[in-house]
Amino acid sequence: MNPLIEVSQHNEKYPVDTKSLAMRPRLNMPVIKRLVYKDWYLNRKLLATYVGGGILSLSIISLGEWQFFMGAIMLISMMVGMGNHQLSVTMISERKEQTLAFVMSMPVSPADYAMAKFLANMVLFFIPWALLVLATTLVILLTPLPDGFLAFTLLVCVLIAVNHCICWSVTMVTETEASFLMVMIGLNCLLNPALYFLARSPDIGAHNLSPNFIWTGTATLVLVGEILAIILLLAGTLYFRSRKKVFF
Amino acid sequence: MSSTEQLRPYEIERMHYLDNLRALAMIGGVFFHAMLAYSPALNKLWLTADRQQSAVMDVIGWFPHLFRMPLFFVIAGFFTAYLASKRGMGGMLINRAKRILLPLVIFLPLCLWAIIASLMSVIATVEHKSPVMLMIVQAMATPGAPPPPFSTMHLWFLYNLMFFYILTWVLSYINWSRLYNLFGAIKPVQFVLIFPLLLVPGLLLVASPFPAPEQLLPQLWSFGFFGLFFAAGYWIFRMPHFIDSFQWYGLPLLVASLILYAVYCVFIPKEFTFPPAPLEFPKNIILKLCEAYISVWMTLVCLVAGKRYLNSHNRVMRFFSDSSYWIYIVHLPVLLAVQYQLMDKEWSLLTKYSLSVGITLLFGVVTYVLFVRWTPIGWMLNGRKRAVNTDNAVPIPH
Repeated sequence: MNPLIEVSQHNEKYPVDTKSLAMRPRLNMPVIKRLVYKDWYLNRKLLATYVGGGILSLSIISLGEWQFFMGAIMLISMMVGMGNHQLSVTMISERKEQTLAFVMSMPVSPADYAMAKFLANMVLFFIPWALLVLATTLVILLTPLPDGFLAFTLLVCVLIAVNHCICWSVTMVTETEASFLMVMIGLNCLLNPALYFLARSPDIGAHNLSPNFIWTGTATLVLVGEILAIILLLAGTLYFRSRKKVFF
Repeated sequence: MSSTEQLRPYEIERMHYLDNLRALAMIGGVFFHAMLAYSPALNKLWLTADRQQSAVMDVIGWFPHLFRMPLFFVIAGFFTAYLASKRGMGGMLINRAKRILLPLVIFLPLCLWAIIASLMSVIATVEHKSPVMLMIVQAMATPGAPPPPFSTMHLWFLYNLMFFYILTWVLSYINWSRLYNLFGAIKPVQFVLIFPLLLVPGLLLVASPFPAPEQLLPQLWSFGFFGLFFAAGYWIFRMPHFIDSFQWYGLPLLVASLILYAVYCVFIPKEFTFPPAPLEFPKNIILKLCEAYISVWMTLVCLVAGKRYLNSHNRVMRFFSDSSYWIYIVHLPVLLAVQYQLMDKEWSLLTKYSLSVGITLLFGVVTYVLFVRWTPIGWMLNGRKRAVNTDNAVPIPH
């Protein structure tokens, strides 16, 4: 049942309680699954490209000293690019290419749609992200790279996830390309200062060249802050978006 | 690849010779690794380097090294194309995760443990220690010495295969039809002259003879060398008459490869070091060209000879074809354990070599029959055996 169509077609003769439609207690899971699958299908080539880029980055890291920095920057770029590119395809392009009109013709409520976008974007981002973080962790622990580098690396990886969630939230709330682009550019610009401060922190970056893995209280604080930010962003956006009575 | 879904040229007939060649490539690894203990060139780098060495071992042993794993990757690429055409990309990846990733995850820690445990148990008692063993003794006596870097050891090929499977999926979204048509029109002479040149950039990134890409970080040169052999195998699947078109080239390519190998032996350093000593430019490029041409030419010779002489159902070969995967997985810890015991013996080189190979193969075969063939380990490595007419069965990629 589509609230928008219901309202436009039967507004005068048969007034529809849009509030009751939008606030349905149960989600239409079969359709949500279809929508998630649709996003996976549309993103599969992008995902393949970024996974291929991730493998290339890792293989460049092994070549030597300056290649390590080049590969590491490439790896970060792949993570950031993967998140931003998929948001552009699954949400912005959906608006621009009128796919949303098709989605609205399906028996979904705004809450179903919000849940589908949440699941699709998080699954598409966090599965490859988790694999890359796992691979990076293993590489640091099992190769001659100093183990002390791990704390800094983990915090940067989670920071990239925070940035992805901010981008997702802004796109879900504003649904405009301009705001998505501005936030994306702003966050990417802020990533460098964040790297600088983490690397210069006496409790985090100072241990980067240590042969042992050192986890400090400051690192815990930063990590908890990052995770809290992710939870609050996702929950808040999902709650706000689910309460919308119409699609836009 | 989507286009392979239409073409299934090998579906109706079992490729016995590919199964058999793969088994030979796997079991050849046992002979090669056993040889390394008696190689003067590798004396300073191999754990069980023996006092008895012979340059003849080097000359004989390094020749198959140049094409054994390239041949294996061609066959792996062929069967990957077969699986992708039969089950789709998703099905192929799931199948490979069961047959390749799962054994890697299970057996790599076990093999590492077995090698370290056997080394620790003999390192104090072996009288004639190898240079690597002496280095380990010294490192153990030095507090705070860094641990050795992680290695995927002899299972590196499983690790690399996983990357090749993922890249197969990644690259499947590109339209390759033009390139396929271009390759389809290539003549055998052009192939044997041009394809090896594509391997040279990858080989230039490593020392000669090319080592095993056993590091945890994926090695770029491995993609440019073994990856191209894998891609060639994938492509050969679509070219049913590719191998037949080389049937008259077998002997000339074998002779040409032996001549190139003679040149290779002249230029190759007589002792390998770590890190490898840099070679001057003309010498280096000659070695890389020799490696590239020998690896391609001898791979073709093996495929042609295999199709001519090994393309029939044979119970013995079938047994080794099935057991070779298991034998290869377990061979290194067993081989090293046997060679530790032989290091202090005053026996001849040939006796030590034969004993180490014989005991390792016997252990592999016996454990395969007793613990693997009809057990979940066997199902994991080779799939469940079905009662089918073996002459008409489709190939079951391992």
